[in-house]
Amino acid sequence: MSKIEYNFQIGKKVYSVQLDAEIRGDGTSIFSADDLLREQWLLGKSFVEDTNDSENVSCELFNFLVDISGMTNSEVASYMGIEPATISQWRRHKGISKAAWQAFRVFFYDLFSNGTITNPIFLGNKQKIAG
Amino acid sequence: MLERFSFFLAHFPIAIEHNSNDDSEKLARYEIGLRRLRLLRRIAEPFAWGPAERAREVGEQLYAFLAPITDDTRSPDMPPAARFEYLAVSVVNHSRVTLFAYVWFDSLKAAKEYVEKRNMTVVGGWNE
Repeated sequence: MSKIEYNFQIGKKVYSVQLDAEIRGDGTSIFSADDLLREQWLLGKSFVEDTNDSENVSCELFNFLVDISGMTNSEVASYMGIEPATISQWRRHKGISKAAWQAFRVFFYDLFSNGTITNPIFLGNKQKIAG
Repeated sequence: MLERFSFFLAHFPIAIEHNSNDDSEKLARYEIGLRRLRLLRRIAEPFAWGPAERAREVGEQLYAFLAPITDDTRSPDMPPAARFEYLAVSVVNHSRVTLFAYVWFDSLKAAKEYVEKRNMTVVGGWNE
């Protein structure tokens, strides 16, 4: 087993993680899906807990975080207590407010740290919509 | 036929094939697919199966999955015309399930033509 560098491109920035991989003679590598998914969430967590760059979020980063969450737009919206169309708008470069981004940082931190949503406020939002 | 997919749906994929020497457009698309893998694991449905070119040598089978793209699942990184996400995994001797393809299709017809060209058989309700 060798190590390979897997790159995530988010906007114009490239982020790399190291993965164990089997490398074939033709340059193809094979790595574990679970390893990649774990690294995605670790990277996502590092973005949302970074207090040095916490005021704004680019649409590209917001998209990346929603994509790796494994949730649909409506599932994310239900935890946040907002309309699914709002998530779609933010994903389509309509701009996310600073206040909303701070709430999303808490949401994504909870998900990426615990593997599921545990915060009772988000869970309550979802229950209210489901009810 | 669908029961043949059940094992693979439960375990799919356990490995990912990646060719960093591939063309940039294909690599960019594949990366978007890998970002969406958690979601695709939940929503992708069995679409087609068939023997791989190497089937006779190593007993390799291909299993393809399809997920309709809706407003609820669409990522802005996808082309606006894309209507389906397609994933293909290979299985050698009923052991490792390896993802090796992620493609977008504008129509179900285009997706069917793609797999039929590869001698795969469309399964489930996709034939209706």
